[in-house]
Amino acid sequence: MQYHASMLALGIFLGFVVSVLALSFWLGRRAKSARGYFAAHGDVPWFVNGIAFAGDYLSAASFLGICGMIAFFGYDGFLYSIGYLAGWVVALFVIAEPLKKLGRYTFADALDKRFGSRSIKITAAISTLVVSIFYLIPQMVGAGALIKPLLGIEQHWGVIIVGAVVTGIVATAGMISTTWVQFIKGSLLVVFCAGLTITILARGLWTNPFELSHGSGHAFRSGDENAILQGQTVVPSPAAWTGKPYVWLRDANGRVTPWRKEKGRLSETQTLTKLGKVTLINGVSKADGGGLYPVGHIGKLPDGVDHTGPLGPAEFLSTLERSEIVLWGKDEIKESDGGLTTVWYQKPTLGAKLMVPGNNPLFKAIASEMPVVDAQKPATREAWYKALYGRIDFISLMLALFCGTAALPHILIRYYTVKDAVSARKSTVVGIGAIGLFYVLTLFLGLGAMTSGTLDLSDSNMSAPLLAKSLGELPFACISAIAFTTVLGTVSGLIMAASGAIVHDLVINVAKVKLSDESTVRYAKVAAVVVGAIAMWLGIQFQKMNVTFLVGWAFNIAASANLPALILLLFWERTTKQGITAAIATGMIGSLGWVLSSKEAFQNVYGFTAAEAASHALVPFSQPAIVTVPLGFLVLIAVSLLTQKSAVQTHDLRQAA
Amino acid sequence: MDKTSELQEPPTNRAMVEAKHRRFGLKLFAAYLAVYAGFIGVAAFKHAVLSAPAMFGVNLAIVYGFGLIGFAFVLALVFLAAGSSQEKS
Repeated sequence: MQYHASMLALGIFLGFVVSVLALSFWLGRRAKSARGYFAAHGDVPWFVNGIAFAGDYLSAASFLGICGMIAFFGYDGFLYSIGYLAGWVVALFVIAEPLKKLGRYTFADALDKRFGSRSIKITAAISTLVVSIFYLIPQMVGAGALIKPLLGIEQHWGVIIVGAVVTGIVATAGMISTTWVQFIKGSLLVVFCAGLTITILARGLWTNPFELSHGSGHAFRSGDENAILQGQTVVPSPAAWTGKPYVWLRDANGRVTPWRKEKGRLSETQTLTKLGKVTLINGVSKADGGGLYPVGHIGKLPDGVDHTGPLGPAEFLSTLERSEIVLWGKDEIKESDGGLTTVWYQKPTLGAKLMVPGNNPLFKAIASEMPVVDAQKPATREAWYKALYGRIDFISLMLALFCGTAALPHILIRYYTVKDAVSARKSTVVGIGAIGLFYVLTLFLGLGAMTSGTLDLSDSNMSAPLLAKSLGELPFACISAIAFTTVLGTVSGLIMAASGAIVHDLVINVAKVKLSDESTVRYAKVAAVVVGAIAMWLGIQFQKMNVTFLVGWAFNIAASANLPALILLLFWERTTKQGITAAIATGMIGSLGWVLSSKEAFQNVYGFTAAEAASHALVPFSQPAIVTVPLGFLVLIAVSLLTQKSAVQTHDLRQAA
Repeated sequence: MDKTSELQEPPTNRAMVEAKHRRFGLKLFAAYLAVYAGFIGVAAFKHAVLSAPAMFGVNLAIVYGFGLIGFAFVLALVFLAAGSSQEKS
């Protein structure tokens, strides 16, 4: 889609971002002059701290990625909402309280207290670094997706601008996410999303949202072959298209386009052809202003009406369940001149199907029964494996989301920063309430985006801002600004964590380089710039992917690397430092390697077509957690049992001390 | 942690109360795990059940999903209430 900058939206956006930044610097300065970072939180009221939990946790990925995935695949995006919230149960009940008993606040701290070993410090620091960088990728991609509709520039420029601004801020001034800023952001995000949801419900559902799209809308046609052929003539298809379910038609104005032919019906498509440096969109070159039309509409509402009027929340969901919604399928065709054409075609889908999991190509297998294997036919065996791997992929994703939250390096710190245990638990209740409410809203926002005629087929991440844009410039600017400041907060926190791991753990503690206070700060700034640059580069490489899918991968890696070590450290007396080191290394390398050799990486990062990616992929499904988390536990237990002697010594030493 | 209350109470008693509360937390975790695993199991192996209407004309998938979010909140409340009463006793 083509985007044009809007001065009003841009003005509100900049005003908002600059005032949040100014506020955070002002509060940050005050906190520094008062007491230390942790102590400064001691006087934060539990309610504020609870909402700040939400501000910390609800990154741009939650907002942009989940809404986008729901808008494109229905319920499947909501699975992420469920899993992200479930992760809090693990963090609160299993990790937070025992960790407090150890008198430590983070995983690395707890490891250090128990073992104080150099090899553990190296592994924990590298694991923090890897998880932080992988978690930075979706934030950068999300930032690019926010900037594109706002400024009308290409996405990689968005990534570069955001990366440069944030890295600059972190390198010159330090962390910008104080509790009060997170509180403001958290409450604004939840309140604005609630407002958007109410607007969507009040607007109701209708079959032709394009008439509202400010003139840029295009109502897509589909219908009986004979009806569509009226006034159009069939022309010969290009060589590469023969045998494919498409017919090329010339309309009354002389425009020639491919139509999808299925079951005696013809329906309009959209195409994007890339040949060398030239990009043709729907037959018009991009340089001449060619762009994809926004999509997303309901084909049929229940009882044949074309507009429902205002709906209650349950009514909204049940009406969609009984409607037929036009989603878009995707084909890739290699042209005979070497170009590659992506064809998007209308795919009318029953609402009932969209309101259960299993529309995402990753695990659509769960929506159908396991096929029966016939020993005589190898194809049935293949189908059976495909169905099995789809199920494993789904279970593995849910496991990674469940285990990932507690294993993220930065998420639990806030739990220990109010004045006593009861306040900490009160904060968590408020936090879980706010986060849970937000995740309930994502379902309505995503489904609203699905049916509002505003989706960009080439990028699911923009669904939520574009939905807001369909409601007016003001909500669009506000939502973009809130999401953008969320990106700033998360990115600065992660860059700080990563540069801290490099300078404090690797340079000073491991390499034993003696640094003065001043040069420590200088090294940290250099490290922040390097990490920022790496994140920007990766953000551009991964920009085609849905951001919540990327966060899911980060959760896989965090859970695989850290969770076995964290759990056994807290609950198994015989854990040894060698066991911990081996488990972190295995989990991290295993899950990272798995993710990078999956079909999704080949297709979206290394640039292969879907078919090529499927044959190149080295692993049978995309989410590694179900393999690498148990593997981490096994490695830790095995290595710990083999190295018991040294453990007894450490244990004795601890007792003696 | 509140320094003053730590000094007032005998440390062994306090440690026991805390240990009891931690064990209670693990029980709540087990309850949630069972419900969460139930959702995954149904979605992966009894998928058709999710389409059945459950409440207010909305299917089981959505009611179960909202339920999981609500249940996490309820458990956090229970944990808070139990913690406060134990701390007083």
